[in-house]
Amino acid sequence: MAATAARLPADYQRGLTLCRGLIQRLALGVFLVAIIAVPLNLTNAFWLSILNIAGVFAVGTIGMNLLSGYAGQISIGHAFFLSVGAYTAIALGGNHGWPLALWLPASALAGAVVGGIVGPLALRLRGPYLVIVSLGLVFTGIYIFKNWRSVSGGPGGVAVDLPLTLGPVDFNQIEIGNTMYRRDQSLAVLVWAVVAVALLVVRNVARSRSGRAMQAVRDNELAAELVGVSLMGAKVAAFVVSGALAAVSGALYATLVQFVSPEAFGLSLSVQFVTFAVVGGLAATWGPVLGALVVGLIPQMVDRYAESIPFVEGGAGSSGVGLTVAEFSHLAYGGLLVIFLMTEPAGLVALGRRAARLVRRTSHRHTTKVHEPSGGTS
Amino acid sequence: MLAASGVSGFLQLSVSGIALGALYGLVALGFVIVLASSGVLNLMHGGFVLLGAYLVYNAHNTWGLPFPIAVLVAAAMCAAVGVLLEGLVVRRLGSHAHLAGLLVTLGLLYVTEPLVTAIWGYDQLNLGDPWALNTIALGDVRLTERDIAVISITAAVFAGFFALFRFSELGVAMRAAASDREAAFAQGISPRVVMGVAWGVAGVVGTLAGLLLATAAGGGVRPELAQVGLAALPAIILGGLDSPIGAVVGGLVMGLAQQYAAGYAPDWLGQGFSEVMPYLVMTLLLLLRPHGLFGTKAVRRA
Repeated sequence: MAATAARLPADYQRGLTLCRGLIQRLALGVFLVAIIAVPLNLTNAFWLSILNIAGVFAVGTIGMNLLSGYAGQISIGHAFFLSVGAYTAIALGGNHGWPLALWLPASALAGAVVGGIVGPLALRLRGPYLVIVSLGLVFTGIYIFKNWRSVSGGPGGVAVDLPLTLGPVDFNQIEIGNTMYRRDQSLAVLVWAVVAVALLVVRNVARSRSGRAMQAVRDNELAAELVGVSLMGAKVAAFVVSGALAAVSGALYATLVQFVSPEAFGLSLSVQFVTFAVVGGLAATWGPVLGALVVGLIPQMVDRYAESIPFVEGGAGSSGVGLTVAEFSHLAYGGLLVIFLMTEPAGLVALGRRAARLVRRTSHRHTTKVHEPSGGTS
Repeated sequence: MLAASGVSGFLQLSVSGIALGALYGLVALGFVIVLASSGVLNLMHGGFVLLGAYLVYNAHNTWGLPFPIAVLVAAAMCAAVGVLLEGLVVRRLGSHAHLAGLLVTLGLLYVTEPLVTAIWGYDQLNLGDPWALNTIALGDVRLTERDIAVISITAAVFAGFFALFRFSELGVAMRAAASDREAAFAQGISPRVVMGVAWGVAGVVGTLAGLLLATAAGGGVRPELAQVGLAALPAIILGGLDSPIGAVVGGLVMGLAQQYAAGYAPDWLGQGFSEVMPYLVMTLLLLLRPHGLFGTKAVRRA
């Protein structure tokens, strides 16, 4: 690709530009068009449901990637930030009738504030300590929301109906000309537009001064401090942005599934995000989207093809034989996490790059005799 | 559930707090052994607790072994699982094992839970343990046989563990590895042996903790035991991540805190307050003393 960067460590230069070259710019353009074109032309409810849930998870995973991939802070408290966003949206949008243009940013703000409160703990607590505290956040969050009945409806949960009108567009039912689009189609446009914004935010944070400070902290805290990076600033910034994105993901999740209970934001939701982030590829821009799309497919597929998968029970099982769809998904998430960390810790993105390099190398060999550039390290 | 009035109410809460705390301490010991010797926070330990309880159930009820033998067989099997996982998975992560190890063991935990339910189902199973819920009255305080069994078995396990840790050659090797891994390995202590033993011991300790947790009133052998195992994590923070003594003390403090919260928390604190109490105690302590009551500061810096 960028042959001029052969001498420099490729990552630094790559990190500074928003898009490298024409191909990436074209790809970005295609993605932006696809956000509107794909949902409105896709009518299959099954694939739309996958597109929607994967988009919702992608937003949260993009936040997790900033925290874990770029800033190197491992947290299993992501579900807590999602619940903060979801219940902020329910309280403001549902109970007080705020419009979309207000409740969605308010959710982000709530997540950012909570991230700003939790962030300083990461300064004192590293590795295992931080993980245990983040685990505590999840259980504390469930306790708080179970008891905050006016917002959450108590342990039984609450139905969610949020206003989704933005200017002339109603994301419950997009209308173009005389064509009315279904709710799942319209929502997918909103969800993936938010994905695009989240990608842009994280990409820009990652290439800014504070993003590079985060990466320096991840790679070597002592060295980072010596060159003048504020550990506090970098870690808190990572928690704030990641918390905001997780909260937005939670608000969209509530919108999409239309019913949430406090137990939904448990440890397994956090583990799901860890799996998406690791399998997709940490510290890679598109890793979270890839992870959410590919891994997020699993429960839907298992649900659809339950009869033909061994050990999976079709309906609700009372006899206790076979796995439910949720249990099978746990198995898949845990298994993928182990397999990827052992064989390809850089995730699907790295697998894709490797495949691309392989293709290029073989095609090179067939067409020209020009020898390989030596820098095959990236 | 518990009548908490006057001195006898307080004593009653204290006894159940100590029984609960002893179990937290036992689970915490398993976390600490692996963490001290290999630097990995082994979240799969929750899986050992779960698997151990089911293996005891299987050996006792399905294979028909007498209860003590069933416990030994289950502990040996769980230890073998621990040694295998360490050798086949965790060791292969190489030098950056701290955080990757944490995530890998989280993955292993999430694989174990569905596998256990696939084999044994979702229903609560009765362990068939010899300790009935008969109560013994000591003045105004009532002790169940099960509480006595829990407290005495945990005390025996801790005594045995500390004797081995202190006086056996292997124990000395493990302590050396815990205090300075690089230096210990440079002195000819085999990291493979130390880590293998640590994971094996964690499997044994996890089995014992699992079976005792499953004997609680209204408990039984059930898939949620893995989550109960994770509830011991605040205890290891309280004690300091690398201190076995700290695990015991941390466990007892958390057990007492939880039972007092269950007994004395006012109604406006709502449902489930006692279950988050350990996390609140943990957070408070972390703000005051980040390396725990008994831990060494080096763990935090590493």
